[in-house]
Amino acid sequence: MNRRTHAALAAAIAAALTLGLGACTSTGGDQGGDQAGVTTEGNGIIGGTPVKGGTLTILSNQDFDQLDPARNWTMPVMDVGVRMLYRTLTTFKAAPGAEGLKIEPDLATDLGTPSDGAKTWTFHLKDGLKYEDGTPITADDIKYNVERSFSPELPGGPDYAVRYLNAPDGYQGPLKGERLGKEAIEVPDAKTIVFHLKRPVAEFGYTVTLPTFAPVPKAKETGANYSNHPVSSGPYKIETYDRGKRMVLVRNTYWDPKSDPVRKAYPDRIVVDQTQKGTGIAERLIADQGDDRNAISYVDLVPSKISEVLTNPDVKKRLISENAGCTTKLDMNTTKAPFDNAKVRLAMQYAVDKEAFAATTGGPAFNDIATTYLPPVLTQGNPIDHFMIKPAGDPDKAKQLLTEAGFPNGFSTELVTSTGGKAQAEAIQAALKRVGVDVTITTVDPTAVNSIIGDKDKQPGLANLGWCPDYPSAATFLPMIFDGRLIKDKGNQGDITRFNDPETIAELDRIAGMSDLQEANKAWVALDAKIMDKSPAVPLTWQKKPLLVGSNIAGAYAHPVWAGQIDYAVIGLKSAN
Amino acid sequence: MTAPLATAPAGGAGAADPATDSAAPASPWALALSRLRRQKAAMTGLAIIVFFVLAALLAPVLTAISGKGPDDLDKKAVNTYLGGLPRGSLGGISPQHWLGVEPLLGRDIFARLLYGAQISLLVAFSSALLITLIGTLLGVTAGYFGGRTDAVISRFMDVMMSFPSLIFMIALLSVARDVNRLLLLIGVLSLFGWPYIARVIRGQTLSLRHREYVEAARACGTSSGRILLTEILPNLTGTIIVYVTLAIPGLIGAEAALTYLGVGIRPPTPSWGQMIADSVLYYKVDPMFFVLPSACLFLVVLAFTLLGDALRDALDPKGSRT
Repeated sequence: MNRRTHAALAAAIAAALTLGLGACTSTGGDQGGDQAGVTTEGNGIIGGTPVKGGTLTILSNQDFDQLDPARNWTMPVMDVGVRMLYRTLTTFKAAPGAEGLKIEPDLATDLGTPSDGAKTWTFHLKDGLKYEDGTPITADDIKYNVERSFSPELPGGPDYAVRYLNAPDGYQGPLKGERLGKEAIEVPDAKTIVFHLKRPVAEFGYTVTLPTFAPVPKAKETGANYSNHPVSSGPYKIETYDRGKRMVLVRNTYWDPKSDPVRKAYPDRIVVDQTQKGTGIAERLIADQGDDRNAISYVDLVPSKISEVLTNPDVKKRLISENAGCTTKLDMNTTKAPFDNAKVRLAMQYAVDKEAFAATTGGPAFNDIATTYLPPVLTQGNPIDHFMIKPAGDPDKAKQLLTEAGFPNGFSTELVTSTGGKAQAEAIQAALKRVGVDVTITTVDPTAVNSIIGDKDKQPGLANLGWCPDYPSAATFLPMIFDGRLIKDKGNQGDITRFNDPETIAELDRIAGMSDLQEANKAWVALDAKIMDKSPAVPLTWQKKPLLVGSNIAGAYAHPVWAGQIDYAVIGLKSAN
Repeated sequence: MTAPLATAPAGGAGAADPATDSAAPASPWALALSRLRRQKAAMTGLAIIVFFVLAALLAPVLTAISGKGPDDLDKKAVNTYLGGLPRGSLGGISPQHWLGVEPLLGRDIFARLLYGAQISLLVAFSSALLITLIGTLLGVTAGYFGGRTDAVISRFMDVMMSFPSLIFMIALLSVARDVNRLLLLIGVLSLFGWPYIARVIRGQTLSLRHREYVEAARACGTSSGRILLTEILPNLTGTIIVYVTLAIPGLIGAEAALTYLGVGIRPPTPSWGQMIADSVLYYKVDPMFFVLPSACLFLVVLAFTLLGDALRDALDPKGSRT
């Protein structure tokens, strides 16, 4: 359940929508009124319990990256896939807040049985599970999709299976007919699947919540086109899907509600309209007329509409706003001068103005100032402030550090961002100018951002991306963004700072091998502090995700696992007429 | 009541002065100028242009007086809690910020408008100059020499005109990442702008070269270069001047459009196009942010259109009388 924030960021920004990224809880100096962050009103659930039936409309400004379960690894898209179209071995409870972080058996009968010191995990499937065409779901179908996540032809999906499974080196996936052997995944019968891991993974029950562990029938394999029509094992199936325009979901009659403890599937039809603009969506949902009363927003409320929503109590009642659990960062290219100098990178921690940055993404109402990499959801809810720097930065200290590093007069560097990220980039630019660092901003089309930043030769000194945990474990955070062994010359994701520190890598491996989760958590926090001192990136904000819903919507709440996106498992209408 | 009565006759007499002076034969240029002076619209246009050119040139002085630079963030001027909306009425107009501030970052709109004028006008004037130079040169060459030269140049013009220029501009500007965007913008606008004036010039030259005085000059053995410079070009001056004034509004608009599309000037350098692009999201909650740069663009375009219209009338007496 993790998302790669940068992809999501870029896509969202594509429609000139600036994401409500989180910033600081402790904003001194702002003299205006209510200083608390905005959260969902009531008990966190809008509209009570829904009724069965009706048509739910989801208004969006973008296509889904990939609905193929082997490739689905961007945050709100994972929510769409896992909650509506396919089921996984286990899944997260349908509840807001801490309750939503607990897992429940989904296709499996239990949360998995570890053996051999958590190196072997056994799952049994429930009885009577069927696809949308009535054919039974078998354990081999799950194995098949896990194998698909190894395929270079199907890139972009969660790579946990690749990291954890005891698969032979250089395995290229099943598309050319080569299947994994018993040493990796065993399927003793149609309802049992056994995973053999390279090393103990105490949290593997959480890992199998990822779409990688959803079933794909081998007979329906269409390779790269599978994203256009994944075969449903969940409560809805695709009736029509015109990419980038419209997707219509109808009930999957072969889905048995009795086998599914999580998904309620209240609406009869779900229509996703992907042709809207961020401002248009906000305007329609604020106006709340006609069919828009049955609509919800897929994308964050645009900053320009925030004042309209917050000053109107009737509209504010319909605003969902919970912590997304992601950290937005200023990423420095540690292979490029002068950011190869740790002192310079440390100076940036003091140079940035997180308050001004947060202002461009919704201000204190929708941002907490990030003070370390690990978001509070991974540190038992307590934000850790590593450096104790004021949110507006400390230019004097930054200048002093730059002088020590040999750059008393600053230097010039470049920041590449998407056309929609201009205001954020300008906030960074203005802050760094205070210490003599000249930033040249290049705005490019959102779809081009990742290819430029992921390319060793084209990558500029600075980038402004983020990361969200895949499930509530620091194992899905620090290893994904600071493990130097993952760096690629082209298409580099995750460790985009190209931070390659042997000491950090050794520690990452040591913690990964720990079986006591409590001890591991402490070790993650300690490692987080150590990486902060080496400063490959500056944490900027912890964002909330502000989403508007129509007045006839019920059962709407932000799910903590899917970056604060509305949980599609239990949403519905107050009245189906 | 007496004062207005006194000035009215005086003004009337002043206006009549050039007419009495012109009892002595006036040059065509003086005639055109006096005709132009009598057009209120033209003078208004000129005044607006002078005003904005001066404002752009004096931007550093004026912002020094107002005390706010174009890139200075002012967190106190915006209400960060309400999505960064400016504090105060009319987009945050205050003694500190004469024309209010931008939402989100709180940058001073007065300063950004002035510096934005520098970019917008610089791009428009430079491209207009380049367009005129290239267009006149090629147009005259094609029209005067005719034959194969004409065929080659004319076909080239056709190709450039039928090219999907906006798409090409966007592509070029997004591909070229490390070049000076300002120069590139000027270059690209000029590259696709010149064929229009070249066509007009070519047509004019075609008819001019068959005039008797040109034939006579040629019969005397005057060189082509000399004929072009002394006989043909002076007769084209009116067309060129009018064309330039009419092209400038289009160029300002094109710069704004390209910047709006994200391929213009790099941030944080302000330009009017960029300001308008940023402000469209806020037209409802902060209308002043949208109105101010739009009004500036509107005024300058209107001013050039008025002046260009009047110039055409003034330089082409036959046309103005009909």
